[in-house]
Amino acid sequence: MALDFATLDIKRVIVHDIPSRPTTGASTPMLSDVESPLNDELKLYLKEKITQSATSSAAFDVILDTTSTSPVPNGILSFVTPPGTDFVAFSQQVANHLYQTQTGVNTKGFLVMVDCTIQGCPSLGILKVEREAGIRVAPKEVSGKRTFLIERIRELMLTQGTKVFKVGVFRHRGPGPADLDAVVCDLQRGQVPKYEVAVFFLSRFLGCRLAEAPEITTKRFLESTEAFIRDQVSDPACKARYQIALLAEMNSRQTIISPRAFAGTHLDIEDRKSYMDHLESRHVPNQPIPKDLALVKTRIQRMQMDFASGVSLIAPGDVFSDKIHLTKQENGLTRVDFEDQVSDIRGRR
Amino acid sequence: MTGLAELRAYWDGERPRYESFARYVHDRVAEGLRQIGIPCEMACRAKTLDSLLKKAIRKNYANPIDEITDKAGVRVVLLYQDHRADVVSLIRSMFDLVTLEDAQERLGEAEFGYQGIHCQVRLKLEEIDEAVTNFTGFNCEIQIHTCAQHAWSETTHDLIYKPIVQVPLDVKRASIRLQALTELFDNEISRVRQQIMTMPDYKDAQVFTRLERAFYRLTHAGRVDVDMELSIQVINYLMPVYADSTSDQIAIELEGFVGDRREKLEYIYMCYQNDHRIESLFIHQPESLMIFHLLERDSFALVERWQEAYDRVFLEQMALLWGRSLE
Repeated sequence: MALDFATLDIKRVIVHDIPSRPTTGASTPMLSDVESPLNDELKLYLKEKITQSATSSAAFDVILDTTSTSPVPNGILSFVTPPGTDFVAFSQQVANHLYQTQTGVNTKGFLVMVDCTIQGCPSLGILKVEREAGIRVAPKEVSGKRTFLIERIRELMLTQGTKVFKVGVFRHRGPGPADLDAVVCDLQRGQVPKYEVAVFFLSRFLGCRLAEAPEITTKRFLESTEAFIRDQVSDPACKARYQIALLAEMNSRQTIISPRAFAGTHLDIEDRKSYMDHLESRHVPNQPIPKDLALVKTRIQRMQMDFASGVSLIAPGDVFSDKIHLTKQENGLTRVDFEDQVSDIRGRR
Repeated sequence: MTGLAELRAYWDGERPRYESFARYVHDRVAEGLRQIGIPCEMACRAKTLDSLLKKAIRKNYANPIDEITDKAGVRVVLLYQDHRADVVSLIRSMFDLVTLEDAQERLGEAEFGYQGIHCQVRLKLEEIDEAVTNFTGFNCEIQIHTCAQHAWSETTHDLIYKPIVQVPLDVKRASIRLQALTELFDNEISRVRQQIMTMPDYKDAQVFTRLERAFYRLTHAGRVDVDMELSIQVINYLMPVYADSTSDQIAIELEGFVGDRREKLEYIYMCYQNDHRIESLFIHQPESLMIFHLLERDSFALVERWQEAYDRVFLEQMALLWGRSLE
């Protein structure tokens, strides 16, 4: 069930300062003993920041990994299940775990724990945000003349420019421990899936994994999109254009497939909504999909177009887009223009 | 003197309770009007000691405590006189209506004058519970009039009808002309409004009116907070996003949306009622409902259309308030 972030209601927030772990020497986290004071303006600001990140193209549906050695999953379940656990003590436990989990490659920053409700259900936000710096400007009179004092501020986080950051949001819709909806945003995860840093936040720290194996979601996206093109697009030229775009999307170096972005970039405006509805009806997530081609590798290398007469055209996607031109005729038939050099002719194997 | 001393002692002790009672009636009526989407300005008060004593002397009441019936008062100032009947119906359903005086009904065919409605109300017996037991037996006067009537009443009425000198005939005639003007103004406003609403080519009026009503129902915005011209401009501009739907179909679809998402919408408007950042500007406008609806209905078409005329920042913020991103 999708989390409705419009209903996110922040109750309490606690912040802990987590330094990076030096390869030599020592450092220790600076832990808060009490929650941070909050006002309404700050609550709304944090709410918007969390929404922005958790609904971005770097956010994925996840589940708690029961095989994980991280204490976070059990801690989350105990906290969001009534009567809950002590917020401060739990947050300190998570902060210590974060510090222990980090290696030299992880940047220092703040752990922000947010006690909240979403759609009225007990929920928890875990944010790992980096320390930022900026310049403060304030008017001042010096020797009777106006000037602006500028000062470097190093204790900033979640500034206006911070659009996406590491965050996990967990909602307990109850009553069982399995009734947990969770989403994790981690920009690094999609970018460099093979490196340790990519699994650090989701797996090692939060003890979560993707809700569905990426290779299965990728396959479902491909098949559903092909079905949409086949069944709901009537113009052959349009069909070809969409199919070529789909192959290009699958073969690109991007490690995330965003159905919304695909629709927005490649489909005509009148097809976008019906395409998204079609994906939803086939349970393809509205959210970005981590691309894993393990189950579809062979079928995305070439594209085939069949005609009523029995003629078939098979070609790599890029060749199709460069060399083959389709025009819809007034009589309803499609004209195919293609110019090339014959290199071989053979019977079908 | 003894009567006045008693009245003073009584009012010294009781005025805070009357003040609470006036506030209670005010809040209930305001919420009721919000629910049925009638835009208005409201105020409430308990009579000041000065005013109470002066009224007792002026009217020479034998028993001023009982005879002064506007010790607690609520004023409802309406934009359109067409809404007067709706407000009276609402008050009837909420309170025990002791008396109702419609000044309009007292006027002869060749007379002009004050046209407000004054309702004396008290709490319905069955509704008096622990929370409001303090107000048992209290009366409150609710005055209902239009903006024009209010303007006339606030200025001219006191000058002409509470005079310290005999007003000459030409000044009285001027006052009557003002009364006639007030009536003419209200009638013309109503007539023009109705005409506009029924014009066949004014297809967006119904959508705007329904959105505006729904907006007042969901928010606590005052009419002064809303820029109606901007609303109409944006609504007209976004109508094509609904493709082939007629304005009737759009209005029905929007009402369904508001009904289904009522709780969420109320929550969002409550959270952001004091947010005056530039990017949140549209949350204070009725067209915010259409924007939210289109974000769910067809965000692709909305984004495409929106960007041609308005800054994307506004739409991104509205999407964020709706709990999603535009990515």
